[in-house]
Parts: sequence; structure tokens; C-alpha cells
Amino acid sequence: MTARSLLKGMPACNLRSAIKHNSKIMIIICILQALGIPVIMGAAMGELWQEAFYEKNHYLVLEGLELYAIIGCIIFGMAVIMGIVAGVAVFRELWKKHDVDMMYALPMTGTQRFFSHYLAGAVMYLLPYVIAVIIGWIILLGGSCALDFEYLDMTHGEFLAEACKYYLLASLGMFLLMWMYYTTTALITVCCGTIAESIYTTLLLNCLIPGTFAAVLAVICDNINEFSFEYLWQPIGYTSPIGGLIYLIYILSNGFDTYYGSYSVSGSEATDHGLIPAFIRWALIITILVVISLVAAWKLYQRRKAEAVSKPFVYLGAYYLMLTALTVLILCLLNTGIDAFGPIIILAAVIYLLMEVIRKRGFRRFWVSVISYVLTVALTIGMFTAVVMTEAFGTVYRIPALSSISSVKIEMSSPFSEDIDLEYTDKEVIAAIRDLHKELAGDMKQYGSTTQEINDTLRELDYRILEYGVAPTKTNGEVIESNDNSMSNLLNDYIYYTVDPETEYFKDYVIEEKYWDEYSGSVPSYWDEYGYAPTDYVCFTYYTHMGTTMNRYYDVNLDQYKQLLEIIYGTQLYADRAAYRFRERIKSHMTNYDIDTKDERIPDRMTLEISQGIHGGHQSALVHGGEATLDRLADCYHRDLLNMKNDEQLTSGVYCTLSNVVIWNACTETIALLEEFGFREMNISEKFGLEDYYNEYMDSRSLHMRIYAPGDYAFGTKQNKVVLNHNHSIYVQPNSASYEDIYYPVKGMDMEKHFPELYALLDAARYQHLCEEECYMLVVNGTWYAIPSDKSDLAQAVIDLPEDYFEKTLEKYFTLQMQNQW
Amino acid sequence: MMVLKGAVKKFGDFTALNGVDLEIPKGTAFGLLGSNGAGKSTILRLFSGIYKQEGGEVLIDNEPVYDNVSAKQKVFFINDETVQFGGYTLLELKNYYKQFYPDFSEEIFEKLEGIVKLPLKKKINTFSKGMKRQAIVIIGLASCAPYLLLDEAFDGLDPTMRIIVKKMVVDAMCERELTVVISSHNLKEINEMCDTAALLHQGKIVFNRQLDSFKGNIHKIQAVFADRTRTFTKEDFKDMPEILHFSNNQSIYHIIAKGDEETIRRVLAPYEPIVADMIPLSLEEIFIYELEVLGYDSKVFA
Repeated sequence: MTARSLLKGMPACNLRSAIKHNSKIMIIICILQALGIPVIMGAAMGELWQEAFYEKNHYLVLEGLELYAIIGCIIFGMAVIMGIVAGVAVFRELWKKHDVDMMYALPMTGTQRFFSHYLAGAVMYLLPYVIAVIIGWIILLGGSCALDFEYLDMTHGEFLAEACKYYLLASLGMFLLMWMYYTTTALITVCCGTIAESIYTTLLLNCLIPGTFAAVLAVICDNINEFSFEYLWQPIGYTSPIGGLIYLIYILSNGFDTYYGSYSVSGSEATDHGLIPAFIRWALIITILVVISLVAAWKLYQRRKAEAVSKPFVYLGAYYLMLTALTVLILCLLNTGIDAFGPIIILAAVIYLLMEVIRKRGFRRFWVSVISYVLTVALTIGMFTAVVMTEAFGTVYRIPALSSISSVKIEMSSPFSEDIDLEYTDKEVIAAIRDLHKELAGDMKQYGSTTQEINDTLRELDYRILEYGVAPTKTNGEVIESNDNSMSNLLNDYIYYTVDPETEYFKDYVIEEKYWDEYSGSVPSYWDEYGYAPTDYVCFTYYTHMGTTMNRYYDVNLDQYKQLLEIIYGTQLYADRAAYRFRERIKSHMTNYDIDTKDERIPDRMTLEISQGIHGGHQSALVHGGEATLDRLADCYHRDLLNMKNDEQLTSGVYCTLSNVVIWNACTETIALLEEFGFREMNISEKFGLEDYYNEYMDSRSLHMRIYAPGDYAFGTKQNKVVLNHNHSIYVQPNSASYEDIYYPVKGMDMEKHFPELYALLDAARYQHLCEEECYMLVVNGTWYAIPSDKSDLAQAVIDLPEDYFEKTLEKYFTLQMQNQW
Repeated sequence: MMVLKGAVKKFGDFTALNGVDLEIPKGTAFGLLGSNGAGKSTILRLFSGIYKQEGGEVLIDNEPVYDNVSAKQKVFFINDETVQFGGYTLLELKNYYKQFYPDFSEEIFEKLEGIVKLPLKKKINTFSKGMKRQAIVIIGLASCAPYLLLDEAFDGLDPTMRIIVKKMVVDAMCERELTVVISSHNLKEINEMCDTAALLHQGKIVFNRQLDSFKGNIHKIQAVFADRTRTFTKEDFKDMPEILHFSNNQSIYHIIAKGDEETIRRVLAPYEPIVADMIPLSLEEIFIYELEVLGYDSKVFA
């Protein structure tokens, strides 16, 4: 049958007749479409017009446009849903007994009859949409002429390029989804013999297939840590029109966010890469699926007998697909826990057998239904078990070939700044990341499970020191102390999984005798600020030349974490992103936002403030130049990042933080600029906040200090031994008569002169420090610092001081001070 | 010619036609008789290409019918329902069918429409049942399809209109060698219109012959024999070709038998019939007695 033969003569007549016969449905669709897209587009253009108008005149003239847009969306949604009505109505000979004789007796082949009806429905359903889209184009193009682009911060051309692109993709995508929805309806109608079955099966399958797919994926991702639902969900976009709509919104909003959330420092251009290829790939697959559905519907229509009308299900495939999807969906709830097993099995059985009774219109051969239910349950549970046990048949370890990778994205937490989320196209970087990934996958395969990986990572913590905000635990007598919920959770996970008898004893302490020490071992603020956990997941996402995506999550040990950071820190992309964020952070602190005028400007004169030391002092300086100054700062920082050696960011000390961004000692250009602004490096007392630290528990000014010798402290599982606790060393009762007199001298006390050993130790202390062996640790007012190994003698020197050294020195100092005052 | 060769049609476990052979020559007015569920409508639907047979062949002018446009264009099927046309006006329905039947005659349509005077531009669902029938019959006749299949097609027509419609069909038969196949329970109608008929029962053809031939071939005999003391049985007349019914009321015997009059009289003669009235059977009586032999009679309620 050719297209010409379809459009001429009998089939064309049948097509026209089918449209005429269902003209009321078409009229409703036309009305809904006329009130859908045009209203949404009108509201959007009105909003844009109003935005520019408001910028200019500072008052609103069009109010409630959002309401119009919402109403437009609802009406458009109704128009889309009408696809089921159109699809079922045009094939009325399949469910209406009266029409069977008339339709089948007409001198047409089954193919002609099918396609004339199919096209009739398509015209009824899709033509109004196409017209509405065209009206939308007219509103968009015409409306854009009325916009004041000066106030919209873009040119007419830029606006049209972006708006047309998104509108075109969105309208094409919707067309495909509506076509898919209509064709699916036609296919299901061919499979059913009554109108009721046609409608509810279409609705249920459209919801159940993506729903069940999502539930199955969720169960798999829940049981295989390396898989992430965030990426694996995307095939849902091909399962049904609903799934497709979610995917379409996802890729369009992703493209939109990438464009408007992009950065452009040092040559990094704003792109929406991935949107067009992703759309084309999706559209192509949807088209193929629709064509497959159409061919299936056609072939089944040809095979279908006229007398099948009024049978609930003519082809049982649709019914069993629906029943299985529903049963599997319910069985996915088994993942919630063993307690739910009985109720879920019973619930699934009730629904399964009820559906069977409805289909068979009675209890005929009921035992067959019972057996098929048992088989469905067994197969579902068996499949889940097989997938989990075999780690998705080994795909957990699969890594794409280097030649096939177009880009790789790394997502991980960072100890120093915001989370890392970078996509690399550089071949060398891709190769390095892939090699590391290979190593991770190999390790995991060797250990046999990711649980083992967690154990090993925690064991690493027993002897490795990485002061990136690890909440330490210590044993003080019988008490295990920890101050961080995340760490506690991590430990609980560890204990839950552990098989090592040596660590069993630890379980009782942690679980049953949690004790949170509020001040002596306080949470390092770094933790709160940067949220880094040493066993945090690292996510690799590979984008291949074929347009496919592969995504894996792994937990890494410190070595692997460090390796990955070294790869990333050495890249231009990282420097670009970090410098951009640095600039944005300062900008956000500096911006004067006028709520009335919505004016967002960087002031010409701004006060920058830096912090040195975690509880240390602050400095501020007034700088000029507004945006230009920010650019200078960002450029310096950018160059510093590029000039720093890969591991310098891990080993270099912190100079200061500016708008919460770490400036390392190795950031020479940035530091030079800051010093040009008037900042200076603080002394030890200022850095450690020794003068200002106010202890709310002691209600006094104090220095609370401890030193842990190597082997006497632990992160994670070992018992700690307090080596030195000079809690009272620099401490004065607040109610003392001499409080006022003593306070100031303490504040101004020259530490270098009076406590030279302590001064030298504080000078050597590193807030972050990476080393291969255990070293001394210093806790000052609750913050942990590492003493590099080559400075161990300084720590030991302090430990070796006589016990009354501090008290005697202070006494001497206070006496001198009082004498001077008198 | 319309031909069924060993046609088998099943609906699930139920066999509607079980190897039926039937030939309907061109120009014939053919009646399909049979009990409910005998397979009459099934045969019509096979000939019109609605159903696909599970076995055998269904041919029109030596062409298979199912999914064959050229064969289906030779057939116009009118069933016992008219609901499906409700959404059309007569004019629309005419234009619709005109596209499917290349020989559709506007002239015939106008002529017939002029006779029955149906409104052209009113929706058919506003018509009475009889008017709906008239509408589809005139379209069927105007289609000029060589084979017109009527399934209980005269239901709902008033006596006058029944005559008019029948006359239209008969005229068409005369004018253009139209072959008409009528399925009806109204045996009088078939008797009036058809020259050939087939009786179906449980998916098989009981007989298929010209009405004239079997009208003269089955007789109802009312006889009284000379020996009134003797009680005669069916066995006494076993030389008759086939006895469909045998009963007596004292000395009066009622026999319904197949065969020509001469043979029957010859079998009766040795028993000295005092009275032997031979009455030709109506089609209705033939229908009842034939099916009675096959176990389909009102005695099932006895």
C-alpha cells in the first residue's frame, strides 16, 4: 500500500469519514489546544515584556500572568490526554459490535482500514497541536518585537536564537510524545475488545511501565552502591510518554541551567553542550519506538478477527504486561525490609488474582492463575537476587574503552571548596581518570564487595592522618566520644558490616554509650563548612561518542582520593571553575541588592574580610574598583591554581580564607594582591585566636590545649590516650577580683617571649597536612592541628616541660603585670 | 458465483460451520434457512469478507473474498442492525459508499429515493427503524454490487414498505442479474422471493435445492385404510423414500414423507386406503419437519 493509494479513493474516504464521525472529539481537542500553547506563550512573552517594563518604570502593569500560564498548562495537559479518546474512538470497530459489519464489509484491505483510521486519529489529535504550535511561533516572533532588550540584558538576536531553539525542541519533543501516546493507545486498543479495557489498560500501562522501571532501578541502585539512580533513570525517558516527558523536561532544563549557570573565566565558554545531541538521540529512539509500536499495531490489527470484538483482551500480551508490571511494582516494596515480606506477598496476590478474575469474568481455571502468580513472584525475586549477587552481571566493573569516550565527568566532595563537578574532554585527563577508575574497579573486584572497601578505608584512618575535618574519637576512661553525626553514621556502618573480631568490642561503646563531648573534642569547623568525609563516594560519568552515558559510584580510600585530587587540581578546567566560584563568592558577599529596583551591582568601594586560622582573627580592608578588582583577584587566584604543583593544595599551609575560600600559602600572586590591599599575615596569637577565644563553658578566656603523641590517638577505631592536657594552664576564674586587670595582659601577652616552646609549636602546627606516617597532633580550643614529623621535637619539647611550668610562668607574668600596674 | 468449499468457521470452542459446501449461481435469489445459531449469518459474513474462515475456501467469482478489495466490491451486505449508520445523513451515507463501489449508480439512488421519499439531509439516527432499513437497502441496490446479502433485512418494515422494498430487489434482479442471498426466519418471505434455499442446522447444510423441487417432493398425507382394526406403524411404510412424520388419531393417519406423489401412492396402495389426501407442504412446515427429524423441535419443552 503506497501513500498515494492511502490518500486517494476508498481509504481517504474512510479517513474523512472517521474524522467526520468523531468531529466532536476533534472540536474539543482544537478548543483545548487553542487555549493551551498560545496562552502559555502569551503569558511568557507578557512576563518578559513586563520584566523589561519594570526595569524601566519600576511598577507592574500585568499581574497574575503566572496564573494564565498555569491555566494554559492545565488546558494543554487536558488536550494531550485527549489522545486516548481519539485513539480509541477512531478504532470503534474494535470495541463496538454494531460497527464491525459495516467496517469489515467495506471493500478495503485490513491495512487500508487500519491506516485510514490511524491517520484519522492522528489528524484529529496532532493537527490541532501543530496549529497551536504555529500560533505559538507567531506569538513568540511577534511578541519579541515588542520587548525592550536593553533592559533584558540581551540582544534581539540572542533572545530569538535561544527562545527559538528551546521552543523548537520543546514543541518537537511534545509532538513525538503525543505521537507515541496516540500510537500506544492504538496498539492497546487493537489488543483489547472493549472500550473499558482499552482505556484503563492504556492509562495503566502508560503509568505502570515507567513506574515499575523506576522502582526496579531504585531497588538495584539501593543494593549495588556503584549504581546511581540519578543517571540510570534516564532510560525511563523511552518507556512511555510520561517517562519521555520527564526526560524531555530534564534535558531541556539541563541545557537551560548549563547555559545560564555557566561560567566564563579564562576562556571557559558558556555552552549547552549535550542538549542537542541528547535531544536528537532521544527523538530518534522515540521515533523508532513509535514506528515499532505502529507496525506492531498494524500487524496485530491484520491478524485480529472481526468476531474478537467484546472480548476483554484479544491479545493477552497487553494484559500480562500490565499484570506483571503491577506485580513487580508491588514486589519492589520487598526492598523495604524483611518485615514487609508477608504483607507485600499477600497484597500482590490479592491484586494479581483479582485482575485474573476480572479478565476471565469468573473463577475458571483459577489454579492456573495461582500458579502463574507464584511463578511471577519467584521469577521477580530470582531476577533481583541474580542482578544483585552478580553485581548486575559484572557491569559494575565495566569501563568504556578510551577511544569511545568523548568526555568524563567527575563528581566528588572537595576538602577545600565546593563539591567538584567537572566534565573533561581532554584526552590525557580522561586517560588518567580512566586508569584510576580501573584501579578502583580492580580493587573492588578483588575485595569482592564495597563493604570491604569501607572497612579498609576505615582501617586507613587508624594510622593515616589527613586533617580534613575528620572528627576524632578519643577514649577518656570508659567513654567514647565523637562529635559528628556523619562520622558516627560511618562508624555504625562500619560496625554493622565488620567481621573483624578485633574491633567487635568497639561496637558496644559506640552504639550504647554515645557521648558527645561538647567542647573538649569539638567538631572541626572544616567539617561543617566543606562536608568532607574521607570515605565519601566519587562518581565517574562517561559520555561516549555514541551518545551513551555510563555512570559509576565508588568509595575510595585516602590514597585513591589523593590521586584523583591530584589529577583534578592540575587541570585548567578545575582552575577555571575554582576561580570563577571564588569570584562569585566574593561577589555575593559584596553585592548590594536593591529589592525594589532589583538592581544588582558591585559597589565601587567594598570591604574585604579575611580569616586566618580557624578560630582565629579577622582582618578587613577597604578596596576600590568594584568588578575590576574582583576580576584581578579571580585572575590572580586562577594563575596561582595553575602554577601550583598538583599536591601543593594538599600540603601547602593555609594563608587565610576569603569569603570562605581557602588561600594557600602557595597562592603567591593572590597573597601579594591581598597584601597590596593592606592585609598582613597575622601573628600566632591572632591566628589561633588565643586572645579572643571565649570559652562559654568556662565563662573565661582560656587556652585549652592538648597534644597527642603518635600512636596515642586515633581517627576511627583506636583508643586514644591523652598525653598532655593543660586545660587549666592559661585559665583565670572570671569572678576573680583581679579579672579586669589580668584579662588584658593575657590578651596582650607576648607568647613568643613568655612561652617560647608553645609559640614554636603553634607556629609549626598545620591545619591541613598530609603525611605518610603518624605524627603529633595538637588540639587548640577544640581544633585539631597536625605537627609535621620534622617538627616532632617541638611537640615533644612541650610535653617534656615540667608539669607546673605553665602555672609558674603565668604566675610570674601576672605578678609582673600587677607590679607594673601598681 | 458464490462458493463455499468445505468452509469451517469456529468461534472459540464453538464450530459455527463445519465443512460447508455451497454454490450460489449468479442471478439466483437464494434463501438461507435454519435454526438459531445454525450458521446462516456466519455464511453471509464469510461471503462479505467480515469473517475469515478457519478452513476451506470462500470464493466470489473464483476469487477469495477475505481482505480482497475487488471481490468485496462485488458484495453489499445489509445486516439486521442500523445503529452504525446513525451518525450519517442519507446523502453522506450515499457519498461514503459511493467511494467504495465503483459502479454506484446515482440514477438508481435517486429513483429509489424518489420512491421511498426519505429525507436526505437528516441524520439517520432520527429515522424510524423502517426508514433506516429503507435507507440502507436503497444504498445497497444503488451500489450496483452484483451480490446483495440480506441478513434479516426486512425486519421493521411495514407491510406496504415491505412490498415496495421487495419489489425494488426483485426489479434489480430482473434488470441486472443481481444475486440476492436472504437469511431470514420469515419463511414466507423466502418462499416469495427465493428460487433456491438451503436449510442449515448446527453448522451443516441439511438440504440445498430449488424451492419448487422440494415443495413437490414433500407431502403431507392424510389417510384412512380399509382395515380399521389394524394399527399401522411407520415400519409398514418403509418403502417410502423418507418419512419425516408419522402419527395417527384412531383410524386417521398423518404422514409427512419425502418422494414424488406416485411413489407414495404406490407404497400406500397395498394397504387399501379408503382416503388418501396428499397436500403439498408450506416452506414453514418443511422447515419444522426437517428439523424435527434432526431432533430440533418443540418437544424438547415437553
